[in-house]
Amino acid sequence: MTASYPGAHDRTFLDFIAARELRLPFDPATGQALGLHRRCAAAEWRPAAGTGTVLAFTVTRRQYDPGFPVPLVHGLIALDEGPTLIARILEVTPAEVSAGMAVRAGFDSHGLWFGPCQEPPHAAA
Amino acid sequence: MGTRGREPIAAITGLGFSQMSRAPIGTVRELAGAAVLAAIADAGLSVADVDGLLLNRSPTAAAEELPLLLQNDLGLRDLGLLAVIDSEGSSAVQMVQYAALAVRHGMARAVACVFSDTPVKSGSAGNTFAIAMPLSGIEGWERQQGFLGAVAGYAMAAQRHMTVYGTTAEQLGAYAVACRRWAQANPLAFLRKPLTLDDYLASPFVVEPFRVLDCCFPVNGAAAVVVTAADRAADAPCPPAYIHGMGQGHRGRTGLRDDEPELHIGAVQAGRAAYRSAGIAPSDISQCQFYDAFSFAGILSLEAYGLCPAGEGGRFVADGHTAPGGPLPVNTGGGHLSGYYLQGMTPISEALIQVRGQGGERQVRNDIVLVSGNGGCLDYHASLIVSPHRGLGAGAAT
Repeated sequence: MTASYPGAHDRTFLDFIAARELRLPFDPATGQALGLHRRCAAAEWRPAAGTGTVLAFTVTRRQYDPGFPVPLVHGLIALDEGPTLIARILEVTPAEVSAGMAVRAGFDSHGLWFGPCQEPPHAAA
Repeated sequence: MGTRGREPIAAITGLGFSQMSRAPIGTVRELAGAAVLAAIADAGLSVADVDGLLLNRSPTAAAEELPLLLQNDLGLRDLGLLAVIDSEGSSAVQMVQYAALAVRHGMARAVACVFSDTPVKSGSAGNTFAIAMPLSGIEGWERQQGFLGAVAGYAMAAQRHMTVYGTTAEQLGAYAVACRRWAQANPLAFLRKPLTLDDYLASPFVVEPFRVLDCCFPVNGAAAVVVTAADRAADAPCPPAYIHGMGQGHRGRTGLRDDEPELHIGAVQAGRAAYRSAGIAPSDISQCQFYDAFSFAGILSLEAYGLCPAGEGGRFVADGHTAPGGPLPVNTGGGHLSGYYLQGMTPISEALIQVRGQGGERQVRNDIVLVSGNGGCLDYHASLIVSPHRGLGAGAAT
């Protein structure tokens, strides 16, 4: 395993995460969130609501890294602002996770994680 | 059939393997050399006839494991073409494409293309492939999240497909079972024990929804081919595989919700370009040789290459279309799951065996063969249309 040295875009995102903040790059011209794959020097890093929806999930059963005990649940999360990312889902058993589930962000020693929303955030929608 | 009287772009006239094994059998470089020499001999050529060399290193191997110095190892002199092609799982098909363009335009006369890898260390390849894939767009993010292994990225994509289209575990299993049935008739295949759907469902999960039997079977080994101009191909000892179509598709990722790189892949573009250049339609395809490192990749390839409707790949496989006896044979050597995982050279090698009519018990109709490469996490796609026929005009596929 070799670690690549992250560039400014990556470092900005990870530094906010280390400070327990989820911020996303926004295009100042359109006001829209940029996907995390885009490197845009003019991006404004704005706080995200920290809420989103599980598009898909996996349950890792084979132990790859002792720092991440199994079973280990990950979600492909669509944040309410539009960007997607893959992150751990905690506070639920694998059987309790489902696509479409509403989640909210939390932080631990590994960084960002998501757990189920106590109440559906889009009950009115 | 579309245009008549179309000339092939080039031809593949040689195929060679090194030894293949789950045990240590040599370095990447040594195995590559063995495969190239075997391919040159198979093409009826000598080393002095070869004036092009293309190398495909595994993304999990270090750059120095397969260096340009392979030229000197083999005594190749005055090459007109020499490069490492580094587009992950699409590299092997890309090598053949660039070799075809080079011989077509007179840059070289005979180009050897080789893939070599030694992923199986101390009896297992699990750690070799425990790489973090850059799926979210932030360097180091997947590692920080403990999202490891190519298997995890593909498993996520498969689960998305299950969510959106209702694809089932039994359908993934049907793919694995069909590949095993093909492998049973392939002397080169590593996994040939009969496999039932119940066996599949009883196999342990690696990363849900994938079980062990959804994953490729890594081996140490190398395979090489020789590409020459179509005009020279008839002199080769074995029937040539004429290259009639080529395409690539690399869709890119935005990281926004309305982009679904798990479901909408560059294979669509790679397929359309290949069909267009060959003057054919998906319905003309006799058989497919897909890069299927995971069961789901084979299923999604059927959809993306236009061989069944989007979302129907699982059902298409479960209905038996791709299995022995089915109307659209897929991965007739057992593919990556049951045959041997030599990345992009697995589908290319089986396509050549089929085009030559050397498939033995597993030989099927071979008029127009679709070959695919797939790299990254469904990110990089390249395809070929090959045939034993020099022309794909009316009657060729009857």
